[in-house]
Amino acid sequence: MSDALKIEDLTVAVPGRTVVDGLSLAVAPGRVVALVGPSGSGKSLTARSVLRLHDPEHRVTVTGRILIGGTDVLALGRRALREVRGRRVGYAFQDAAASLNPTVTVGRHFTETVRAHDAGDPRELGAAALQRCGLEAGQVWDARPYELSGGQAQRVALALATVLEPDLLIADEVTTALDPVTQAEVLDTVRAQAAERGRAVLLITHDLAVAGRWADEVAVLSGGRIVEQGPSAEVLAAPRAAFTRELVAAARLDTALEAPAEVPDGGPLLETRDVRRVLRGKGRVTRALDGVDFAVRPGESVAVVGRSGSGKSTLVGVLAALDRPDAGQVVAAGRDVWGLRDRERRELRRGSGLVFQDALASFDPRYTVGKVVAEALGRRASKGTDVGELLERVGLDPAMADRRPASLSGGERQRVALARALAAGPRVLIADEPTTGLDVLAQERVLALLAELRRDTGLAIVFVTHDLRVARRIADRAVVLAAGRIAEELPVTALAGARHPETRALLAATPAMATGVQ
Amino acid sequence: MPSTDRLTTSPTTDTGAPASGDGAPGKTVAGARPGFYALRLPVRRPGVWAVAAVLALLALAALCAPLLTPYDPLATNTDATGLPPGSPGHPLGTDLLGHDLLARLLYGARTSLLVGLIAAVITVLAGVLLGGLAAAGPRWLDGLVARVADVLLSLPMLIVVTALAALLGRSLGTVVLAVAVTSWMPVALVARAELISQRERLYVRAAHALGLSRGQVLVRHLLPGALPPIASIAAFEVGHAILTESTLSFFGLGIPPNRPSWGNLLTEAQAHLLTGEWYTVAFPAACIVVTILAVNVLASAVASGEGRAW
Repeated sequence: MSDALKIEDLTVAVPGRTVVDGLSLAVAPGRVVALVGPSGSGKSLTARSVLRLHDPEHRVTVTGRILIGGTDVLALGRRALREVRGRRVGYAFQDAAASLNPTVTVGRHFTETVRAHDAGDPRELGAAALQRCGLEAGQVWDARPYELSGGQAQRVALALATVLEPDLLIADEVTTALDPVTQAEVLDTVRAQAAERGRAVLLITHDLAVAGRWADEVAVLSGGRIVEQGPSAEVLAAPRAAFTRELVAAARLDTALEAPAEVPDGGPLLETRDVRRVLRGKGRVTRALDGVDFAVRPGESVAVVGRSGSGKSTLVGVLAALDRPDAGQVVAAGRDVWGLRDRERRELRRGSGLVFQDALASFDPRYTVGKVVAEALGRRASKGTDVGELLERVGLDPAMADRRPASLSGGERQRVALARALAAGPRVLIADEPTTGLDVLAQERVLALLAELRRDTGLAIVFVTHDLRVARRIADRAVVLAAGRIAEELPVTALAGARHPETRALLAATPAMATGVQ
Repeated sequence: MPSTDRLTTSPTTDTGAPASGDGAPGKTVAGARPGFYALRLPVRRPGVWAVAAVLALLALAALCAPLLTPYDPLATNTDATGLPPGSPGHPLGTDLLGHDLLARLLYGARTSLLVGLIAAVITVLAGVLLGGLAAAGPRWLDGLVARVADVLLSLPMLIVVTALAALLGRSLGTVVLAVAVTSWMPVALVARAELISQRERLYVRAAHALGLSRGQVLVRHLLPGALPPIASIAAFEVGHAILTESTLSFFGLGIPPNRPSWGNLLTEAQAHLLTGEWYTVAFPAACIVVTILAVNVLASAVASGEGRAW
């Protein structure tokens, strides 16, 4: 059987650097092949090369051969290339919501794609594609992308990529931003379609566990080369290349990092009492938090887990004294936060450090790393703590102070965010999915750093995540949120035996790596 | 990487960054987005430099008017009336009252450029202030600013200005006020929209989480972010103000007639339009056209360097 996609000796260079260096890969019809690697290893550049989707401004040069059903894409003219795009190869992007045009309806997207290839009745084809991806056409056809949930948007993007029944689907980190339950649903769909329709799928991911569960074959990419390739079960069970072994070892870690020997006593640092918060959007009202009692004690580490939309981020805003609850109390260091004057509340905010999922967006684009941290230091800058010291504490080179966050890697950015959060000397750190979107090695380094800070300074941590493995690694206690309420609260060691259906659903959907020794 | 070939002319907010980027492309970090500074001018476009030179020359000529001409622009000389350009001692000729046209043009530039600059500064300050109040203040204030802007945008400018001139009398101050009153609206609307969009950014939330006050967040994060599009509008406002001054003076509503300005020169020249003394119209008109063109080219350069306002 001839391969749907065959990449031979692909080299991709940007000015001054060769990112992909002699990569060869084949995907047979009906197979799901995962291209796995840490950020910066050239995964996305490889995927984009298949459709030549590079930004012309970046002056990317691509050499080698990329054969789709025997046609070399790199040798095609514009018109022929357009024939390939959409019809023979479908491409789904990581940020589905951003890859859809917010000004036109979902239906218009389908109409546009189908018309561009004169493929038939858009409504009929679109409805069928949506159906295959588990959506009712009637519900989403007239919706605009921003009205969809994250999972819905990703399904729409997948349906759009597969509306013309392409031979090859490229799924570029399609589930990175999704919670495990939604991720499992989306990837199950992708896999089922591959098997039913004989479609080849190139699954780009940084998550080995995802590759292990949903791909037939795994190709591990490091430094622009494929270091190991084979059936996913084999590669994950007995990795041969040193780099794969490192990745697999990191992904298998799910025991708690060393916790402080003794936890200081004391009343809760931060507490919410029967907090309710209602989000009023256009035409709909969501009860994001519906009577939540939550407390963090000094030196403890709590994981807040739940699916998207369960109220995790709303809880973060309330805990950080940024968002006012509609009912209930937020108590910090024994004082009711919203009964205080503005000035005192601002002072309280300095007592908790906040870290966001999207570290880059949390820095003023005009600021350098040094300025970001210095701003948080404020008056303390004169009292001896300086920017360089803080950067060193989070494991960064003080010389980085002059650089801009945009030029740093994802892991480095998150460390800068951490340095900023620690600048005011908080007693509690509130981290909102800080490792989502980082590859397993960068993630492990951030987690180790957090555990170390906790050990050395007695910092309490509230760690919001949808990844149970991460929760086990960093926290003593897990609080499971569902639909704005606390579904369950239990020690992380007891997670595996949890009874609540919400926790069970999360557990079942989380792809696990076999933990046994090979 | 677009920012390597740009010259940072005004790093208004970023004290930590290199102040001049022209000789140091290495300082621009890979992946940095363009638009960190309020104003960026494309260095490699000679046209931009040419118009900047023209403007500088005009401003210099206005400043040094007493050195460039021995004549008093208000003094009449009955021995030299209606001289054509090129007459000895009067390179641009004289008008029917014996005013030296070069002197009037130079002193007129003082008035016109000054009015343009002051009016534009006031316009932009008022626009940013009102836009800021609308963005940050209570909802009724937002509504009030928006409605007032709507009303002013829908009234013909000349009616507003005539009313103002009737109330306050003709003076330089009236012209400045008239320009400001009739042109702050676009600045305010852009400032309001920019501030609101900045306010939704994650880094603003992060700043609040650090315990900064609203004022600190406004000064450190919101305004610097909103400044580039406002700066490009501001450049257009200068040209607009000069043009408005000329228009008003031409209709006899602007600068008092005893004070030369380019608009006033045109008013006086009205009578000569059909009598063959073309130069009385041509020189002031040319000055206005050249200035407005130059300012607008410069403003477009600022705008395209930023690329968000248009």
